Amino acid sequence: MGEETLFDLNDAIAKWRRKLRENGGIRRADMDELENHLRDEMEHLARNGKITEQDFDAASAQLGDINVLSEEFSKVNNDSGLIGIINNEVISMNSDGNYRSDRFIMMLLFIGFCGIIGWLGTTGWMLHGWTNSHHWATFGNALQTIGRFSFSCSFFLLFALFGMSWGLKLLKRVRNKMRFVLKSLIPAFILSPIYIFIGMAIILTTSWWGGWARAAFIGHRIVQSQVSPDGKFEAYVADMPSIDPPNHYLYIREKQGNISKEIARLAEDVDSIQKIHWSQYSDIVVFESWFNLIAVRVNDYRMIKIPLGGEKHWRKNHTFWVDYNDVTHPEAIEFPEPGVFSYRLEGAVETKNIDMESLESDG
Amino acid sequence: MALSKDLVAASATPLILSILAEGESYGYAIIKRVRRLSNDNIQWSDGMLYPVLHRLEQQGLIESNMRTSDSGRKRKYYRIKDEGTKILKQQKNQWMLVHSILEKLWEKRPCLT
Repeated sequence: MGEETLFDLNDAIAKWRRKLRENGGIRRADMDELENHLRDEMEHLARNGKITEQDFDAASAQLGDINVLSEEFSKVNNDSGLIGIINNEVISMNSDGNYRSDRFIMMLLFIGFCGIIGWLGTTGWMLHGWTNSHHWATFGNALQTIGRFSFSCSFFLLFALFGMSWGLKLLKRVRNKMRFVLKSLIPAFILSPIYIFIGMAIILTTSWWGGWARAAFIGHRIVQSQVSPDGKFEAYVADMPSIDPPNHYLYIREKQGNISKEIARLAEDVDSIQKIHWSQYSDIVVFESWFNLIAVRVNDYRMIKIPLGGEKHWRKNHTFWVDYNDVTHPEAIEFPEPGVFSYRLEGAVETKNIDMESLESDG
Repeated sequence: MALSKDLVAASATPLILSILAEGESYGYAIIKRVRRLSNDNIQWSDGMLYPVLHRLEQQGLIESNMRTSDSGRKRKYYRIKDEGTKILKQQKNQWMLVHSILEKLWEKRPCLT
């Protein structure tokens, strides 16, 4: 009698599963079910409780040709793309009813690392670039900045919180832990510029998307409005959607006929309207912004723009900056006669008169 | 006598639904039952049963759940749903109709010549 070699059933099943997987079309859960069937058939075929290679060959042949099986299963499992990957690699359970831990852990760790990188990158960018900027100049600005920052960071913090904690929890069961950590960490670092870019994009576009959504459903946000003394005109300021507000557009509406005319657009993220002044004769309106006086004669929309100071320049660290301290605000704006307005700047003795009749039409 | 491929395919659904109508079962047991009932004349390729089971599950005719069997292995058990019972009733009527027609056609007729 010849020497009998020991048959390794688990090895044979592993090879059989590899062939099935390589052919594609079969989910892990399907393979588990087929493997169960194979084991049932082998138990049935086994003589004296001993399973041989012949039993395995007979049982796998009875189960069917691998190519045909793949084809038939792929007809049923017709999901592809991301849903297919999630179904096949993440959600599918093995024969013990547990999640496939190896790839699942790697995916969770990868997501967690991405979250940490995105959070650190976004926080760093915010602290470096925005610390001294006008985004913190007033209480309202600071509140908005914190809101946008928190929104963006929460996105990545959730990644880090859930991805890392689930991944680390599952990692306890895995023998070679470093392999999973490295496999997750290396691609996360390679892709890290993408997460930092996404963080910046979220911060910058938060106000913009919100503004557009509001404009689409409710209309533009009117931040100031004054009706002329005769009630025929309305001067108003709309804050248009912007990635870096404020973004003020100036309008005059002729109430009869409801016709609005755009007068000017202020520098986005820099200038904003403080007050609207109507002449008692209802012929001139003056929009007082942080950096300019914009006077308009309503019958022909002649306009004059008077700068109040505030130079824009580049600071030494190459960030854009507007010097708010160089601005001299008007102390008084008056309308001494029809077609004329006057203004006196803070600390000045002289009052300047502007005759709108003498201007070339800008309207 | 082996059945033709077309007939095997056409009879798969009513056979599976009829077996599950008797009570929940799993793939291997369903195959064994079909073999025994047909005296080994219906020879399904075992692996082909599962795509059919999954399709019936997708169609909402049967449902499945994972449980540990007596042997200690996790098994997927299938159970017929109300919709499956309704479809089985329809299929039963259709097969009985075909059966009665063929029976009439193939019954012995008096020879005229």
